[in-house]
Amino acid sequence: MDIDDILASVDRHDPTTPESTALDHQLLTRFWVAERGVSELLPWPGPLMDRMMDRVRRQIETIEDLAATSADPLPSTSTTTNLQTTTTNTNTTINLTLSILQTDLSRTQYTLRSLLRQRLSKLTKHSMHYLLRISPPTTQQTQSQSQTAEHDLRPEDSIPTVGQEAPHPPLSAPEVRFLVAHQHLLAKHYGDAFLGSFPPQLRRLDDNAGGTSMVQGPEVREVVFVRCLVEEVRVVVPPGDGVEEEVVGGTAMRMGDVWAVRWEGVRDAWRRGEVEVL
Amino acid sequence: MAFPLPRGIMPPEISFLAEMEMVTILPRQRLEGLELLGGPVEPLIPPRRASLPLWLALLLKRQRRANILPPSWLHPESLSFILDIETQYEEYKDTFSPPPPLPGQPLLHDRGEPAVATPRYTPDGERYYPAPPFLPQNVARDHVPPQELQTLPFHWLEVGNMLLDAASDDLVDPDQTRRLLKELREVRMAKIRSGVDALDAAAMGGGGVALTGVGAIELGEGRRFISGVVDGLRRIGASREQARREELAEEMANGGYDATQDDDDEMEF
Amino acid sequence: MSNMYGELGNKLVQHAKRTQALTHLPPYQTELVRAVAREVRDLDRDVARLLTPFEGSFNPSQEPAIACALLVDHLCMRRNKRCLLAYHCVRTEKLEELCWTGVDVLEQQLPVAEEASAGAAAAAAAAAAQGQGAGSGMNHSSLSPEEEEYFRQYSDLLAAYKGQWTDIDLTGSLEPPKDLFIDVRVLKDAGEIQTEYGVINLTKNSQLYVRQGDVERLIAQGFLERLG
Repeated sequence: MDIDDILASVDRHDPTTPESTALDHQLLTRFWVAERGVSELLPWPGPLMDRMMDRVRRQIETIEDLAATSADPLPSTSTTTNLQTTTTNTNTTINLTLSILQTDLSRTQYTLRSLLRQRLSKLTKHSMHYLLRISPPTTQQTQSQSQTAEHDLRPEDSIPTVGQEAPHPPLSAPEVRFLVAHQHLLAKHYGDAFLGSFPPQLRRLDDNAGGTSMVQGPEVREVVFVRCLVEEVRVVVPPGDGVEEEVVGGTAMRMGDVWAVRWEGVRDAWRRGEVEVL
Repeated sequence: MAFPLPRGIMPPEISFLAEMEMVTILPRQRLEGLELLGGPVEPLIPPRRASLPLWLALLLKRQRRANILPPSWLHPESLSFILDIETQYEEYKDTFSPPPPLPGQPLLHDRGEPAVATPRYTPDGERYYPAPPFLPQNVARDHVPPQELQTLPFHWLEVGNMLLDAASDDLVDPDQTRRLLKELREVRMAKIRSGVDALDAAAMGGGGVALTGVGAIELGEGRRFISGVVDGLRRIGASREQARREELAEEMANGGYDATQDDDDEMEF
Repeated sequence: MSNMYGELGNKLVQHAKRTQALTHLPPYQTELVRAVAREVRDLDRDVARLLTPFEGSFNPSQEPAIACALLVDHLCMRRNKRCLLAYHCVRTEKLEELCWTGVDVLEQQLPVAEEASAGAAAAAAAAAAQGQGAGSGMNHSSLSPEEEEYFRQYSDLLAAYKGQWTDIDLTGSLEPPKDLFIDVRVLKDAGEIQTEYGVINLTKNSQLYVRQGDVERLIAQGFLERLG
């Protein structure tokens, strides 16, 4: 069967079919490459990750079961060399199968691990930026008009409050928990180490006086490398830079073209699946 | 720090990707079909050919359980032909020879025909267009149409090197193949370096710079250099005033407080 | 007077820059940090002193000299804050990096027993076992007490996040897996070894296809030879 035929027969509603497995593997791989190639945190692909983690868990069980089978001792009553040979052959085949399953598993584990850690790294690099992005605007205002007595102000008080209701795109729920906890930990640390002894008006973590790392976002004008997957894609130039409104590029990318472009110029096309990040 | 590597996949990761390319093997023993996380693997029933991901083909080859049938491009004749295109044709003096077409993309000689992208649909209802390493660009074909141009697939360098390392006995004239791959590598690397001239202002109007035909490893290695050049060209190509505005905007984005702060700092000392 | 301020901040930044280039954490600059923070409080008092006569109704355009002095004070304070943040940030990042690679910096806080007596070494070991670290009195610690606490809590945070992805082993290798299984030849008889897949017999000159992790030690010990 041709790969194309396999993919064409994907049953959209059944994640357990082999065809579905192949497609998800491709989606995960492509998403991993994109997440590695762009500074911005890409939207958490929840359903895909759930399906992948499910399959990983089941595959680990399959491997453990198979390994237990091969570790079984030869039956002590076996007397014929034929049976021994067959058992040996079976064991060899089981070992080969195990080594293939194990290698395949480690490859997917690696991709998931790399993806999760790359995301965590992006989050902690621009913590306040993402916290502000996922917290409702009202809580941000409330903070600055806080009733807390001025001399009691702690650095933690300048951290935006994130609502309990999931989801908080582009972050996953565990990422939100990590980010909030990490920022509080950091704030407490700074507070204990030196900020606590500062004049109250200097204790905030979201002001420019704190330095560039406080509320800086990822660079969206950076150059990325993309391949055009559809008939035509035009690169956009968002407003700014002396440009009043969005401008669409003159020359278009054609199918199969590989270009070096600004991320913000192809971000929407990427979201629509029209380009892939290389 | 959760992740030490710089932005953009690096050569070891790119090789990892290339190992997902499907190749053709001739199994020497039977093996049941397997359900891998990477997708299903068909059963091995000698002497029937089978398609497997490269990493698995190499695993079996190393244990002498299979032979690998190389793709048609990995052959001295094809590689010489491609090398000619890269070096002898004015049209490709500064750019790379054309890559294999994507599904729905017209072949070179059908250039008049329109491209038609046909998406698959993901379980979440989104459009998906397969691309390397998930296209059959490295499987063996018995019959290659005579008018079809030989092309270097995206992962040519990795696939070529891995097959030379592990399965040179399955290749036609591996020494010559190795020489030709090396020559192609050098010719193309030179194009990236001197490619500054090719990254011309016309491309600036489109908002990007074309590198069509570039290989995966070549991209991984040249990533930082190319980004720097594109960034630089962006400033040169723009008008002086716009360049100044861009510069200012970036300073502000990168912590403009620092810029103004430095001015103020001078007051202190 | 303004020339005196800012020098300490510079020293902190230099320490931060140096730290970025190192693989370990140099000693925490407690006195320098205190001095910079003290400077901030001094500058804040100066601001208060300058503003006192005006009782809340200070008009900068009418008092340019005082306005200038106030501005200098404010800028110095903010710069000091930046320097302190930069210094602490570089160090916490390093601590996190060590945490991810599985290094327990708290264990390494105690002195290596170079000239230490056996008794001192035993006491150090006992203190380590109880996690007393720098508080034990043998203070060669590179970390401030706050940093030790940060490391402890970050470890917990990391463990909690890891725990949601146990099937992946989040702190595992970030290198793409290569050669999970390798060909080896047995150089000397080594009896049987237990692997995930059962028992393997190591008889001299036999060739095996085994999991690298299972046999790494045997290769290092010379029982097996890796092929290819």
